[in-house]
Amino acid sequence: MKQLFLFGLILIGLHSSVLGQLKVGKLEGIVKNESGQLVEGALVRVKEVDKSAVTDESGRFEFDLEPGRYTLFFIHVSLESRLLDVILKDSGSVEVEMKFKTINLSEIVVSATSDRENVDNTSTGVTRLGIEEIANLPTFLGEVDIIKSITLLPGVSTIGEGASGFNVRGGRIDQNLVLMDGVQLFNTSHVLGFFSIFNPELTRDFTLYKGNIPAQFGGRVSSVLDVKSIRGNREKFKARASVGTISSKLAVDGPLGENLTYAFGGRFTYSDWILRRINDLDIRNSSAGFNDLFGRLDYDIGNNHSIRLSYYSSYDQFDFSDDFGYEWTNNIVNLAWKYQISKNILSELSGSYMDYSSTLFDFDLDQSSELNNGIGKWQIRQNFNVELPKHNINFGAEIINNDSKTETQDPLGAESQITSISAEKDQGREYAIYVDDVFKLSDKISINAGLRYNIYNNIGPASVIQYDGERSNANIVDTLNFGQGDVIKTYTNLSPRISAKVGLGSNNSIKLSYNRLFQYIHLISNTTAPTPVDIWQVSNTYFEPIQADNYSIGYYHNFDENRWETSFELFYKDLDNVIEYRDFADLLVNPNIETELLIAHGEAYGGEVLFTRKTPKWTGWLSYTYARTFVTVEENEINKESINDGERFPANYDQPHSIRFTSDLKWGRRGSFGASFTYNTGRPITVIESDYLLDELLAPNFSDRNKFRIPDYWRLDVSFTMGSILRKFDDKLVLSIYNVFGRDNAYSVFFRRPGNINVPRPFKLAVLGAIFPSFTYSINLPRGN
Amino acid sequence: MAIVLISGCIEEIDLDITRTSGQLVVFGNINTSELRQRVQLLRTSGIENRINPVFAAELKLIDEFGNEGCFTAAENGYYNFQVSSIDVIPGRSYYLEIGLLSGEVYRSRLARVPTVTATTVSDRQYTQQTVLSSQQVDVDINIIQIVGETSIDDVSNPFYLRWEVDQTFRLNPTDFPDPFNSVPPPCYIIRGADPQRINLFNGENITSTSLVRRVLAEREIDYSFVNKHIFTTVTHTINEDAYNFWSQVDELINSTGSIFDVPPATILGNIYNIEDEEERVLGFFELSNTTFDRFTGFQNDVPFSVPETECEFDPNILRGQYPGYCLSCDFFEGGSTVRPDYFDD
Repeated sequence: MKQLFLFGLILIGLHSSVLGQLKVGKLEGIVKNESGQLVEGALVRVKEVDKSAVTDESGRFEFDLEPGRYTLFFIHVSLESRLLDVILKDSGSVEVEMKFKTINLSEIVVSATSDRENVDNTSTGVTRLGIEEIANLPTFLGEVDIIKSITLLPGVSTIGEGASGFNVRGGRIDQNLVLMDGVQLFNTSHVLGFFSIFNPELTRDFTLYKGNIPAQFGGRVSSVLDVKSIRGNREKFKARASVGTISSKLAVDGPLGENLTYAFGGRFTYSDWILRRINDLDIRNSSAGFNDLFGRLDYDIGNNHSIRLSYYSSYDQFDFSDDFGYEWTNNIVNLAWKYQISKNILSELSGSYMDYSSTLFDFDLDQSSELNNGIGKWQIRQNFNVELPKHNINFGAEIINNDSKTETQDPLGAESQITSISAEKDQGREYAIYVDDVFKLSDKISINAGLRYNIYNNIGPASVIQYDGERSNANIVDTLNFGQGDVIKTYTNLSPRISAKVGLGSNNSIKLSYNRLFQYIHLISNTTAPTPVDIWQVSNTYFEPIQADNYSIGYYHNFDENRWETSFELFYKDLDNVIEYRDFADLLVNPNIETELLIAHGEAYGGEVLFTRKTPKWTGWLSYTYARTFVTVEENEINKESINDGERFPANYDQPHSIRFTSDLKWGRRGSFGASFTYNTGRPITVIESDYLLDELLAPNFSDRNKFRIPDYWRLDVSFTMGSILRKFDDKLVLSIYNVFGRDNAYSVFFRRPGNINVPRPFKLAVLGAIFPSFTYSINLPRGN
Repeated sequence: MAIVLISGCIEEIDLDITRTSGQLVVFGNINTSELRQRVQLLRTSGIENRINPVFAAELKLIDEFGNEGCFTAAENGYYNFQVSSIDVIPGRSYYLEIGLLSGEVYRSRLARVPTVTATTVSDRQYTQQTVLSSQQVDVDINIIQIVGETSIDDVSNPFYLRWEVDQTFRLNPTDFPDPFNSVPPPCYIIRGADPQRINLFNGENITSTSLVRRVLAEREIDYSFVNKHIFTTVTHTINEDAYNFWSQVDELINSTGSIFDVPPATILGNIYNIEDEEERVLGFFELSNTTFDRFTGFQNDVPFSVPETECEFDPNILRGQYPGYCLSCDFFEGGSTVRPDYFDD
């Protein structure tokens, strides 16, 4: 850590007030970077009294201090640390400028906000990372990716390579609330799940909540991934571009006048020219690609008001020969108004609209068809943040409306003889009010307590089928019709959140948390991995909200002046009203989809151990996770059948043992070596236990669901980063090797008949079964960007 | 995306799985045609591709009025339906009852014979395909494709179709010298032309009474084409339960292992133990409204060279060195010295 003794621009006001005879004064400040941007998340420590604070969204911090001489440390992951001597006579304020780091080789830091975050943070299971922190991790095809990065954290996993979404502590992928500047997102992956929709050039940082989830977040039961985009540079124009063999991207930002800034960026792929050169007819006739565009305008009105308008648009398509194809689009617009009402009170009012549409093309002679579905969502939120001496309070309200589009199947091509059919989908509206407070009970105990109250309405128009007993088409007795806006079903839920930190000493603490969470929307997907055309089903008469009770407890200890961080967390999760699927469930264009679905109980538990090393020379972490996830489906008045005779079975993403190792070792002043190792137990599958003849056809007889496992997964990636290649420019060259050992990890194991042998044999599908080297050269303009 | 498509690889592996055995399997089709109809009873085996026939069972086909049709036991667990014992009529409902020697009784769920009639006009076409040989070499093979154009008499209601193609051919066994100069009778073999293929059609949303021409079977040109051969295309109109059963079988045996696969599961049929409905019985008893079409072919019709059988007697070859089909009609499961009445020599 560099120590710079600078007496910068210091303004110390001598205030006279009614309370002028108080011994304790207030030292406030604003932190900016050298581009004039407010710096959120900078750690400010007062050496003499061992107090620390973190700058908020407005770059502000404050301390209550007795008059005297103090030394302030300012630390931020992407900025040069600095030291400031101040003399406080009464109360006053400072404005501090922190310079950009000249070499863009950031240390990998698990807790980005503070070197004591591990011990001091009140909540369990919170991780915050900046883009600079993941930029040096080994990547697939050189593309920095947020979703791929968080899967290197303990408790976070995926079904496998190419699968979209992620699983957190035994939760499904639809149980994660993913936000971009507060806007809820649905499909967060591009084609085949290898790239997320987040453009790293326009992303500032992201926070993953997997233990305690603050009350301002609702609607999902497993985790929250809160992604923040960058604001345009206030001082000067900046550009970042890269061109590759199959993709390119460009990002620009800068000022438009005194109070207006912009940030725009886009990515697009063009892999078809390579596909057409492959010596495989099916691949030659295939195509895949995506493009996305993000733009943001920020306008300051005076010192206290700020308006933000952002827009995101993407398009993805994938065609496999003349068999099938997918395409989908995402469009999001968001408007937010921030008002600093007073020094301590910040208001943010935001509104957004999102539209997601998908199409599946099935080319099958006279049954060729085009299947369309999607979802539209609008959201309004008012949040207040109040900072008091001992409390940091968030409270507010929000309305979220999810409108699933009608699912349609239409003929495709002149030869198709099918007729058009459709299935109406549901609309749901959620109202929520919440309050959340972080406060210190004593020097050693701090609490984060929150409460969220939800009212959810399933809204018409809709036709609701009435069943006599179990839900099957044979038991339909009546149909109730509801008009536009009619309330069909209401659910009200109280969602308490509490987390406590008990400091045991100066370097260790225990934390506990409990959340009760509710989810009112479900991703309907019974394939091995979710597909872009899966259905989003809101809660209605037949699908009650998922209810989850999440418990976690952890012990946290820092060593060697915070150069080592360790944590040990245990968690338990109990879920009700989880959706499962009948065997061979028919989900496409099914107007009575409830007849194909089963209501299950879920349970997840486990422990995570994490060791993190943070030094100027070497940073990294090693983690081990033991986690189990089980599902139980019993036959009852709702479920017309059970799964595995009602015995609990492992969920599709149950991976008992996981190991993660990540390392970034500096080499000289400009270079660094990165490495990451991943190990997972193979996930569960269903296998053939016997077979039987249907005349001359040999049919397989499968085991109970998820009775066996595919082979274990492990992978090693390495990278080498060199900065300042051309000294005139701010540039960087990265050589990355994904899957160094070329291990063909099993994505799935399935059975099929090889050649002309009619006995099914087990086959392994490996999606990335080779070594993937990549070179990435990037340049930022102007230099010092 | 290109790298993903070309680097994803599939290879056979070994899995340590303990196979189960002993589950009852009931499979058969009873239909409105004059074709051979039968039901097979088996038990699953712990050994791969081994069947365990169930013998000495008593089978009855019972209609909604209580009339009974009977079956006679044959080999390999087959029970042949006596067509004359009861009429199978479109629109009428039937169920199968099975009494095992152990005293257990099983039944199929009552089902109705579909009233929709579909008829197929079949023909053949010849082509070549490139396949990977066992030596991992690309090889061109000569193929006959049986194609059909199907018409349906009524599309106003949902209907479901399944096609099967059988091949009947004659094979002359090896004529070994004997003191009586007797000539072994020819074998007549009836077998599936493409038995691992499942042809289905879902007519839930169809407006046209004619379906496009489609390939229903493919077979490599082999020694069976040396002599006269007959292809029988059978068109079954089945009910929704039967269609779902076959769809699930098709899905399971044609799994590609892609990320979009539906997880496999045990296929539940329509047979149950009347004393224990929780018992899982595999297979399906199918009722169908069935028509068929035949065409005859000869070696001269085949535009490729037809491999000769290896049954020509050669004094330098020991008896045990001849292919099994040259020695006995029993080599083929559908082999017999009895000439089918439609096979005029």
